[in-house]
Amino acid sequence: MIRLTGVDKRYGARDAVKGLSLHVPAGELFGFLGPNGAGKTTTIKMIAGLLKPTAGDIFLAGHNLQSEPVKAKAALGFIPDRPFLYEKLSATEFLRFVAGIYGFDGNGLEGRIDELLELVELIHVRSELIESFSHGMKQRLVMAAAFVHQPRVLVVDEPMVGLDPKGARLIKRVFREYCDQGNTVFVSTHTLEVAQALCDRIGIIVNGSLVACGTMDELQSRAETQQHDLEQIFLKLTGGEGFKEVQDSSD
Amino acid sequence: MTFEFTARQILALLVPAGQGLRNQRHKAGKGELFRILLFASITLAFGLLVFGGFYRLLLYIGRFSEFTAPLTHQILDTVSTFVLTVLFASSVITALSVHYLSDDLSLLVSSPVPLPALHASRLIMTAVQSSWMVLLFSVPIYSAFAVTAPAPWQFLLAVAIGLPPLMVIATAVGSMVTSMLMAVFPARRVREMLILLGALFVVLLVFLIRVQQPEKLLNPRSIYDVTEFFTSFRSPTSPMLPSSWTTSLLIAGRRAEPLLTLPLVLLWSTAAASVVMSSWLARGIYLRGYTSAQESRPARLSSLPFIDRPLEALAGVFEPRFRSLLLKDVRTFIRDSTQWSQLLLLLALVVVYLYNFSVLPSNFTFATFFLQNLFSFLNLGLAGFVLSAVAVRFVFPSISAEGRAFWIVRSSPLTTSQFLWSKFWTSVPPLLVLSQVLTWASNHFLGASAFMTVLSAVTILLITFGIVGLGVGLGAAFPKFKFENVTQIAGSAGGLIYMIAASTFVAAVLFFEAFPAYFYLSAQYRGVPLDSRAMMIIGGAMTIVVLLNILAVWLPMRWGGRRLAAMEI
Repeated sequence: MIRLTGVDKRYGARDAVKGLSLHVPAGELFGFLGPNGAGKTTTIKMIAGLLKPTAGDIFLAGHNLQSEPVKAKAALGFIPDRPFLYEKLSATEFLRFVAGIYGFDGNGLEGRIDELLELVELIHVRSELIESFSHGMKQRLVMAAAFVHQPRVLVVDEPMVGLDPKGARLIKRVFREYCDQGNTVFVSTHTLEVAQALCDRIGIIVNGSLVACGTMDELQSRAETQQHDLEQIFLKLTGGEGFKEVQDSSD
Repeated sequence: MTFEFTARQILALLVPAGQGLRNQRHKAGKGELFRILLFASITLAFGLLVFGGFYRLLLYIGRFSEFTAPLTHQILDTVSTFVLTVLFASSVITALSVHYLSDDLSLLVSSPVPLPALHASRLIMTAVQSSWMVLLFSVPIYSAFAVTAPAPWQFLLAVAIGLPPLMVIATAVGSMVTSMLMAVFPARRVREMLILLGALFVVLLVFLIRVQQPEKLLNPRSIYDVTEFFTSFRSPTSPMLPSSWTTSLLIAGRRAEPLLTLPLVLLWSTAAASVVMSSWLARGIYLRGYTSAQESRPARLSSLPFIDRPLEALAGVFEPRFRSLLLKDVRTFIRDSTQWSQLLLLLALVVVYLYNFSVLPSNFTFATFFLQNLFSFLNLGLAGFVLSAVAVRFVFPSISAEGRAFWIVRSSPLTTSQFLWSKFWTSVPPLLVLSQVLTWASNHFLGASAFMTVLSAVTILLITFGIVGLGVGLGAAFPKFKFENVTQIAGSAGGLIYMIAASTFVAAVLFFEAFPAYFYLSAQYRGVPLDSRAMMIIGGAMTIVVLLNILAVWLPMRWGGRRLAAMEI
C-alpha cells in the first residue's frame, strides 16, 4: 500500500532524509519513530504530497505520487500534527467540503458525515463554527475528515498531541479496526507505549536514515537486548552516547 | 501580580520588540527590500503631493488678507482634530492586539512582571504602532504650514511640543476604551466590532470629504465660497478638545507670537493624567479582559438560512469539487468581518466614483464631441484602475486566504490547476457586475456616444478577465499563508507587484484601444465612412487587445500554478 524507494530530501547542504526505502503492506499499522529532527515529519509530509522528494519514488496504493498524484492522493487520508482548519466553517460544512474536493457527493454522504461526527463525539457541535473548538476537538475533526472519503492509506503525524485519554483510546481503537479491514496506517509518534501496543511493525529513523525496521521481536534482536521494552530498544538503537548517559544515570 | 515597578522593567519589556525589528531588518531578503523601497517611493510621492497641495492652498489663501487668519486657523484646527480622531481610532484597534491578543502575553502575564510595568510597556508599543503612519503623513502638512509661516522654526517648535501630548492622550484614552470593551464583551466580538467601526469610520470620512466638493478650492472664483466651505466642513471645535489646545499653540507659533502657557500646560497635564488613569484602570480590569480574551466562546448560529439556501441551490449546478470550493470561499467571506467589512469601503468607492461623474458641470454635455468621447475613453482607464484596486483587496488574496489550512487542498487529489481556475471563476462574476455598473453608469452621466459606451463595456469585460487572471496567478506566485488578518495580504510585496502589473496591463490595453476609437470617431466627426486602411488598423488593434487579455489570464495563471505546485508547505 505504501512503498518508498530510495527517497532523499535535501535542504541546501543538509540531508533531512537519506535513501529511505520502505514497504508497508495492506492491513498493517506501521509505527514510525525517531528522535527530534530525525526526519519523521519530513517523511510524512513527502508521503502526504506537501513536500517533494529530492530523489526517489513514493507509491500509494500502487500509484506513483510524482507521476500520478491525483490517483495516489485519492487513496490517501492525512492527519497532520497541528490541526489548521477553515475556522469559519461548521464541523458539518467542513466535512462536506473535504468530501467534495475528493469528488464525493450526494449518495449517503450526509449519513456518513453524521456517522463520523458520532464516532469522534462531535455530533453535538456539528453546527458550531470550528473557530470555537478546542485543540483536541479540532484534532478529532481532522480525524473524521481523513476518513470521510474512505481512503485506503492513512498517514498520521503525532496522533496523540492535544488529545485527552478518552480521545487517545478512541484513536487506537479506530486505527486498529481500520487496518483489520485491509487498509494501511502509517503513524509517526513519540509515544512509545502507543507504538508498542498498537503497531504491527515499527521503523526507527535517525539522522534521516532508517536504522531499524521490524516487529517488536525483530527490533529486540536487532538491538541485542533481552528487554521487551520499546523505550530501551529505542534508546539503544538511536541513542549512542545519549543511551549510555541514560544507562549511567539509571545505574 | 505586584504593583511596584521601575523604569528599567518597562525598558526590559520593550527590548524584545526592538530586537525583533532589528532581526527582521538583518534577515530582510530582496523581496522585502524591494517592498520597503517601493513603499518609501510611494510615501515620498504622496508626501510631496500633500505638501504641494497644502503649500498652494496656503499661498492662495495668503492673497486674501481679510480671510487669511480665520481660514488658516480653521484649516489647522481641522488638521489637529483629524490627527486626534485618527490617532484615537487607530489606538483603540491597535490596543486590542497589543494589550490582549499578542502571543507573548501568556508568558508575560504568568511571570512576576508588575502589572503597571507591563501596561506601560504595552502603552508605548500601542503609541508607536498606532501613530507612526499618522505622524509620517502629517509631516508634509505641517512642513507646508512652516514654509509659508513668518517664523518657520517657531512653528516647528510648536509642533514638536504640541503634537506628542496629543498622541499620548489619544493612545491612553484609546487603550482605556479597549480595556472597558474587553471587560464587558468577549474578545472575538470586540475585534469584529472594532473592525466594523473602523471600516464605517473610513467610509464616513470619504463621504464627508467628497460631498464637500473640495475641488471648489481650485476654482479662483470661489474664494467667497471657501469660507462657506470651511464653515460647513468645520470640525466640532470645542475649547475642551485637546486638538484645539494644540491648534492654539500652532497658531501662536505660526504668527511668531510667544507660545501660550495655558494650552501647553493643559496638553501635557492631560497627557500625564490620561496615562495615570489608564494605568489605574488597567489595575482594576486588565486581568478580567485578558481572561476573557483567552476563553473560547461558543460560536453563534453558524448558518443563516436566507443566505445558505439560495447559495447552496446556486452552487448545486456545479460539479462537486468546484461547488465545495465555491461554498467554502463564500461562507468564509461572509462570516469573516475582516473580509466583508471591506465591502463597505468598496461601496464608498463606487458611490464616490459615480458621484464624481454626476456632479460634473451641467454645461459639460455641451462640450465638444471630441472632449466628451475623450473623457469617456479616459474613464475606461480609471475604471480599469479602480477594478485593479478592488482586485488587489479581493482577488489577489484569494489564494493566501486559504491560510495554514492550505495543507487540506494540497494533500487532496485536487490539482493546482483545478484549484486556481476555481478561484478564477469564483472571482469573475462579482467583478464583472462591478465593472459593468461603473462603465454604463459613468458613460450615462458623461453623455457618451453609443459607440463609446459599447466599446467601453466590451473592453472592460475583457479587462475584468485579465485583471482576475493576473490577481489569481500572481496571488498563487506570491502566496502568504501565514497572516494575522487577511487585509495584510494586499499590502505584501506580491500585492504591490500585482498593482504594477495590473496598471501596466490596463495602460497597454488602452494604448491599443486608442487606435480603433480614434479612427472611428474621426470618421464619425468628418461624416465619412471608414477606409480600408483604417479598417485594417482597427482590426489589428482589436486583435492585439484580445490577445493581451488572453495572455493576461493565461501567463500568470500558468506561472502562478507552477510556483504554487513547486512550493513546499
